[in-house]
Amino acid sequence: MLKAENLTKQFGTHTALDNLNLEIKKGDIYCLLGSNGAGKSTTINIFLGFIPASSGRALIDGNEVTVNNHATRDLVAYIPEVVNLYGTLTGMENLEFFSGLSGYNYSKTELIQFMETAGLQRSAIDKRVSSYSKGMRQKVGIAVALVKKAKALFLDEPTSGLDPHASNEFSQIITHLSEQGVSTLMATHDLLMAKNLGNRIGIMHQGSLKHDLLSQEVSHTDLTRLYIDIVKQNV
Amino acid sequence: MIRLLIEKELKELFRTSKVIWMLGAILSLMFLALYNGYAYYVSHSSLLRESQEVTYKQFISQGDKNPHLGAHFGFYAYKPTADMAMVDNGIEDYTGNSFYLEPHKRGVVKFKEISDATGLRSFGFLNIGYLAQFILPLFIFLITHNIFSKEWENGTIKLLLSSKATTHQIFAGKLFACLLLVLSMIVVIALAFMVLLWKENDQGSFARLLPACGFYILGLTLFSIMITAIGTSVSLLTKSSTLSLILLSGFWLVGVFLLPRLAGEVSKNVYPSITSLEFENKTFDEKQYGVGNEGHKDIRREKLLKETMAKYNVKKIEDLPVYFIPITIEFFEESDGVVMDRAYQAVDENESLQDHFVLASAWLSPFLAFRDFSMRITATDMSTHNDFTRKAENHRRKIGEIVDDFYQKNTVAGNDFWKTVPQFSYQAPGIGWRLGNATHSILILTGWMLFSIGLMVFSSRKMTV
Repeated sequence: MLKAENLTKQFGTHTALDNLNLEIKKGDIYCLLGSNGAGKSTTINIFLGFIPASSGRALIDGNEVTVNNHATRDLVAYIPEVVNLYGTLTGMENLEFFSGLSGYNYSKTELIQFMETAGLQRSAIDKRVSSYSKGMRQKVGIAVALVKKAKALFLDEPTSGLDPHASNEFSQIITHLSEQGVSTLMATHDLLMAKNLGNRIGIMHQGSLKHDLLSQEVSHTDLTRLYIDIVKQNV
Repeated sequence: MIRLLIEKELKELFRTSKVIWMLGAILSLMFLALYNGYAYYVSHSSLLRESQEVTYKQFISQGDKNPHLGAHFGFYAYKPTADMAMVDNGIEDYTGNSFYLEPHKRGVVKFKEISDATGLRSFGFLNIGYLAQFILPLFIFLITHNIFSKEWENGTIKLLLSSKATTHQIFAGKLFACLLLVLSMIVVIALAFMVLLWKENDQGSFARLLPACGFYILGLTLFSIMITAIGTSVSLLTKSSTLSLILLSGFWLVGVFLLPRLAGEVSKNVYPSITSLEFENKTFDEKQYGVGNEGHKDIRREKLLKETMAKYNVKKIEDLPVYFIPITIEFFEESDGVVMDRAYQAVDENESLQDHFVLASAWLSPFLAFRDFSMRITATDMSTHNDFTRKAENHRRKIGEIVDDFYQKNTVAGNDFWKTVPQFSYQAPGIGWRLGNATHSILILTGWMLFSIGLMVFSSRKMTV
């Protein structure tokens, strides 16, 4: 479903991504670990078509992102670390807007269902987003991903700053989407979440993928050790 | 997709308190400008119409007099308030509105409105023209400066760009949302203006004015679209509300206030104005000796006498079948007329060079180009004023000829004769002439329009995270 072939990104003389090769299959939850500047967000930004790769190819469902960006946009949904929405609009209006931009015309009842699936309380739906907490915004972000019926989900530190309950709710939704065949690429610092949520884990360092692991084959302790060893190289 | 983007932008705009305050302010100013313009038009046009009638009636009922002396009584030719002065009164306040029609004496336009005004008038007169040229662009920049940059500042650009909407659709959605707001104001202005114009004119006059109104509204619409496109593009290129506000307000400040003044000062240095002393000296000498230095007035008068006596085949002035004095008056009226025409033409040409210089600076300021366009279409510009003075001067000479012809055979003129002197009436030339005059500013505005299209294309390619 998602494929990176010799993907490289350079910002001037700095190599942010160095010859990344990666394949994520349908329904996979791939968690990318790494310290700041390891290249996790750059990978996601290239897949989303936000920035072009310096060389190599990023493919979504066989479509090369730079060549057919319009088609690949239909297939993806994105939830950043902080889901920024339009503060003067209500949660419902934000969802209505983004679902419309995705080409869907849902009824109000259907949109409420998406909001509830994402975990947002019914009473909050018609309030302006400027009054929402970070967790509530994150839930609207998930609802946006749900309405889009995306085949691939890109998450950039999605649970950062969420309370454990909200974080757990979030994990459940991602797992549910995975069961429905949605592929997920998630950049995170949270080793425990990566181990529990992901079925595959990658550890990046200075733009390179140092480890590509199956979650079930690595213990939390081993994962922590591997991660620390990699991060130590930077110190 | 675009409709969705427009709806979202409008919702955001109308839920932002500063936008609501701005809208309230501009709407209040708009109605004030309409009222001001209307009051100016109504009071001035009726006053000038009445004044012209009164002075003409006094002239044609002055009773028995020597034709020459009676002609010097004269009457005023008033420049009627421009038919679209309620929109833009241009330089009307500075050019004067009355031309004294006194045979044998070149007229000058008098009674400049500005001479009776207080210092406050130096800030300009608030009418629709002023609003459109100065305030509306600022309002547009205040609306558009963050229309794109807020997406980066609020972090919503990533969600927006990861949607199905293309960058062109996103740009169009934002642009059209701003345009909807701006153009709806123009629609209100246009409708209100039409109603007021219809109220103040009969059916024929209203129909005659429609093309000029149409072109003015079209020009204003295109100008507003161009300014909106520039504001939107700058907001996208800077990705920062503060920077785009600084750039756009700086552009506005330079274009509206600094550049016109600077260009005006430089133009006066490049093409120095002819002083009244230079004008008087030159015309005095040429009147005395003729344009081609044909000789002193006394010599030319002698020559004219000989020619007149030869024409009537007489040896002495007393034997002439006509009075010689009116013949000399008519002769020198023509000769002095050539002198004055040349002198005024030189003044007009110098003014025109200065105007062209200032207008050339409009390649750096679309506001200046639109100001010129507005004045020319509303016939409140210098060219229309010069057209009025030319026609008034021709009328003055025509009166001179009528009086001199009568005076050659009569020494007393009564009311029956005075009534044969025609009243003066002036109507500004039609839309074809006005558009012809506005060619230069239309060309510059077209250049700016192309620039804004280029800027839109360029900036929409820069829509990345």
